[in-house]
Amino acid sequence: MSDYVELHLHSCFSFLDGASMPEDLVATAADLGYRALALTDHDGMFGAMEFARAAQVAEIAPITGAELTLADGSHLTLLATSMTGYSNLCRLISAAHGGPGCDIPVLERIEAGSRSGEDADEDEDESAEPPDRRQPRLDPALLPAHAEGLILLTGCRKGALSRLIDDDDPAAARRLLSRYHDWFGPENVYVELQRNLVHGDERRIRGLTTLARDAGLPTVATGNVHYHRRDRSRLQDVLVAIRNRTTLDGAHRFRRPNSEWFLRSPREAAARFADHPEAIRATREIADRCAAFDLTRDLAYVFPEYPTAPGESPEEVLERACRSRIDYRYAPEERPQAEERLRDELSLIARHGLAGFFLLYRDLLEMAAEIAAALRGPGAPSATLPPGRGRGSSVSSIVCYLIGLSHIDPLAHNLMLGRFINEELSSVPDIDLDFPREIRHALIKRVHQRYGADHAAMVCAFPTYRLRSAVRDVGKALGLPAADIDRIAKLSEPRSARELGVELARMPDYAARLAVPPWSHLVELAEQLAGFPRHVSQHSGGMIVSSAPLVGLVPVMPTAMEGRYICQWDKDSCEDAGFVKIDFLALGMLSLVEECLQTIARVGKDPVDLSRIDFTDQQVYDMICTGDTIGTFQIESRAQIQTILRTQPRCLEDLVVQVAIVRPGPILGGAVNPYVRQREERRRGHASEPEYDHPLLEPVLRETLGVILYQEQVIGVSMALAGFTAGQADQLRRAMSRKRSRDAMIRMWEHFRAGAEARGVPLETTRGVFQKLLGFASYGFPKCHAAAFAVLSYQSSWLKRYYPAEFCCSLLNNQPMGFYPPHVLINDAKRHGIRTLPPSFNASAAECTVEGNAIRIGLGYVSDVGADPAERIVAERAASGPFRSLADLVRRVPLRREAAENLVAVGAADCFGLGRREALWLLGLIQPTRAFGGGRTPRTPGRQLALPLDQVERADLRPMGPWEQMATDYSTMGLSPRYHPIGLLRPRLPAHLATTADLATLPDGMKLTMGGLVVCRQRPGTANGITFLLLEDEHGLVNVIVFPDLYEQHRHVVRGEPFLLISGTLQRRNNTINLVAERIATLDEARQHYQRPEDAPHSRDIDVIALRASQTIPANAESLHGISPAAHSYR
Amino acid sequence: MVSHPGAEAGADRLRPLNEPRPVAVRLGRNGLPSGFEDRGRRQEIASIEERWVIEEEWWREPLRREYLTVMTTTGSVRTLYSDTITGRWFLQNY
Repeated sequence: MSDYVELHLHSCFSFLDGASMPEDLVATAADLGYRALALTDHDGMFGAMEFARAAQVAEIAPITGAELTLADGSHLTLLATSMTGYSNLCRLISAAHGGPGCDIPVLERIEAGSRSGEDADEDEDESAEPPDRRQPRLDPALLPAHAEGLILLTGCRKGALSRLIDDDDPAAARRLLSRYHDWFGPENVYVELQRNLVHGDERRIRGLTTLARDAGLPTVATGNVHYHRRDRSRLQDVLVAIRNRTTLDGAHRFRRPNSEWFLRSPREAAARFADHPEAIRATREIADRCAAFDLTRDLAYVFPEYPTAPGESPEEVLERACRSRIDYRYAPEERPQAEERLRDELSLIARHGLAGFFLLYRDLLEMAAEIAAALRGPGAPSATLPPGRGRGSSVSSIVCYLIGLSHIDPLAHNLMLGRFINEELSSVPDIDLDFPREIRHALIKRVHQRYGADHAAMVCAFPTYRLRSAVRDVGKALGLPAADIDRIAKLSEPRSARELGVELARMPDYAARLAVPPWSHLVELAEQLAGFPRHVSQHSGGMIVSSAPLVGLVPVMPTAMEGRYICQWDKDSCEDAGFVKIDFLALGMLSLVEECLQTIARVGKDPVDLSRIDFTDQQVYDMICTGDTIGTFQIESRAQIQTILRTQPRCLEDLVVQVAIVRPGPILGGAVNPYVRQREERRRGHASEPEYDHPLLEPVLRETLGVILYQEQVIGVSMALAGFTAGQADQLRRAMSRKRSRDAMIRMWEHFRAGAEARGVPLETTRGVFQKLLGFASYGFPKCHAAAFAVLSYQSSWLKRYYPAEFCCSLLNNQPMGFYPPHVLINDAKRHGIRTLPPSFNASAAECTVEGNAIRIGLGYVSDVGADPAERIVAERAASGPFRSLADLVRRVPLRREAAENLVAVGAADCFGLGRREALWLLGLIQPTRAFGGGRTPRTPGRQLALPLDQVERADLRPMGPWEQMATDYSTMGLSPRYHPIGLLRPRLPAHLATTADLATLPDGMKLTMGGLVVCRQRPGTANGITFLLLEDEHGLVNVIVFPDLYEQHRHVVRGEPFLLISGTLQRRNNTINLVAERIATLDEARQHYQRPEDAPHSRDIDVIALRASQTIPANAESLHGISPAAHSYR
Repeated sequence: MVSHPGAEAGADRLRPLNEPRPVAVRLGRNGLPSGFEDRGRRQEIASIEERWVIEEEWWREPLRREYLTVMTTTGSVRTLYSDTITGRWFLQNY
């Protein structure tokens, strides 16, 4: 075995440069017999923890390092030999990114890590790479102060030393080497030799070895590895093209010249440097020195201590805080039970030393309360709302309930604590808090201030390549026609890029070409690219605080948002590092509720205190049970409505189930249908005993009628069936929530099987149950989380039921959120008797507002207007009175041309008695497109006084027709206050088409044809290839089921066309109404088709007219209690 | 002297210059050339000065060549390459 250790290696966390994942590199290294291996990604530690963990599993000693980019663009390799060295490296990387405590300006911040990278073609002129301001750059002046514990390798071909040799300047090279020597000490500087068969390598190696010999410094051989196998060089070429936003041909100057950048076997690497055996021996020496530091073991992270008064422990403070609230929260008869639960929890918390952790959270919530009070202003109607709410497992804790971290009583909801905190806790429990967006934003800033920017940072996330993004980027690099790329991306299902081959094989146009380049390249490369991180972004809410400076534990870099920093690890790496993550999540629905309460007060209605509403109000459940839930929290989606119609939730507990059940976990775990059937049977009064896979499971699954709905039940099942301890069970549960959870869970199968066997459970049963758990692993909610969400579901439903206008208005103002686009929301409101009014210069506010029983679209809602100009119009109107005319408006408020035009086009000038086209024409006169006598662009408003145009004779223009108005409305606002496109088309459509208004009266099994606007297309991975469409016409919505064969025939129509005509069979089952598609056509195709009446798709369609005329309900139609808007009209 | 400066430079008038010439190469024990025969003259290689590999256009028509800059025993510096797809050797004058 050779001594060679690879010390210069890039993974895919050298974004768009490294072409292999850390796990592939480690697996190959293990196969090749490496005993140690370094990871030296560009300017980052993004993959360091994942790499170190994977290497340890493979019994390879991980070496932590990085390749830094210096201010002059040159590269330098640094390796950590100790914790001090690692800390220094983190500080250097942070500084290169403009992190906290560093005044190096970095212009574009958040993606700073994403575009770093070495030029591909080392021989080319440096300036070949387009200048990219976002690249991190390290000021070399920082090196001497941070040299301790680091070994310096002089760098690749782009290292400053190599460049000087290439430039034939040995004197300067000697001076540079001597500086390194002075900064790092002679034992820590190695002259790096690389031989990747690039032109100039031999000459450089001769120069560098001479230089090293003269300076008395050792040399070291490295491979500058960018991928684990030679055949990945193609992907690397593609990544280089993507990074430079060009094609492979266009990337000629940046690409690596050959495929010699793979991980060689130690023997092969040594053979390549046979003429420099000392450089091979040096790799082993360095590896031995670096072995003293282990990233997975040596991080000295400490959670900040909670400051208490002298002589008082955090445990005592926490207990006092809880006890002070117990009388308030619990009635006397409930107190003994509450006391007992509190005692248990406090003792667990004390045992794990977590009292300070809970108190810190309480402080954060107090901080949030202050922020909320400041943001809401004194006496605001939303002041009754808590500033934030708990979600996730912490909701099961009575301590959290008592100190305000949760708003759910764990005793009332029978919530198990084990998922949150148990005897064998291996890491700190998660407490997740939801906040309205504005409060969260301010809170994050405040936390940074409280702990200091170098002690607090957000957790990062790595958006990864999936099928569509891979097709777009790889396709572009391969130079495929943009139209093809776009088509494939649009026609493909959103799924893993590994399945591109399967996906293309289904598309008739591409199936035949699959085996031929460039299509075969596209498939192969997209598959390789699957799962690669594309860049760095922020995690939705996780934040790390540390008592020691965080920059010494992980590099920290600024984000685009002022005063906000992110660390270079994602949530898994942070967890592996033992960091305590605190979660503040932004929940749009909370922002909406805040606004809705304010709107209710503003329109003069009595203020509402949402904490005091009746949670058993049957009118609200009546509404929910008819599936009338568009816009509400968590129970509004197409799938939710379909299930609600069958489950008929009648109390909060039922809603908890409802929130949890329409999740991939329960669906794949096979829980939904058995549960729903049981519910239906119970409702009809002939309930049977739930079926359990094994009697041992009865106590765990009785509550959910025999199926696994909640994460806690995974714990319960594994304890009951396989005898897992709470800790083991929680490990299984945790394995579920991580990346590649399936692999981790499969590893636990052996334990599970053995445990169940010992309890006499037949193998088949064990396997079946484990299979359900595996299915469940793809996301399920804990019950406590579902309970927390269900409360918000109810509250939002309550608001929708009693304040539909205010609710819908708040929905519009908080877009984007929820399941439906805005036009569906206003059409739904229309069916509830709420009108929508177009924007008006004299009536609209900047945001949408409620006017009596109508919603007035805000000026800022119109595209290209923006909040500031809209505010200016409103402020001017408030200051100097209503606008008298369009000219008056333009005179008083300078507006950008597009903004003014868009506002006028959607009717904002109707209040001046002008037609839209007329007003547009007038606008052109008042606001000239060409400035006179100056170089101003046509887009800036003229500064001279407007001509006295009020007197200009009006042009006699044809008014905008309804279709034109509707089209303009949709293109500038995404909705049309007055018209529905299908309503306008209706007179041109054949009379025998059914509308959603007819559905309530048409019988099951009837053949019919419907036309509509597609508002949602779903092809859930859980539905065996079935596609669901939600079709909207002027009366309502209908759910359309498209089976796979038909889908494949009409894929481009189904996925791309806005208006469809669907013929099929009406299916009425268990309160739901669906149209099972048999033929699909676009409206255009259909119109041509229908010119010959005998071609009408189903001659029985004519029945619709007859039935509509008679208005009788057919005998076989079920009682129409509970028909959803997904198949119903609210005329 | 251009006979007629207005004449179109048609493809038939373009002549590639400096085309690589096929050569017969003798390989040494290390697998690298030890000598070659150029236009009937035997040349012995004294040292290999530079060695590099290029791989190009795998997405169109793959090309893979291993280049060597060698010094002959007569003191001249020549560049040889092997087309590693066909295995043939060429002499490339620069």
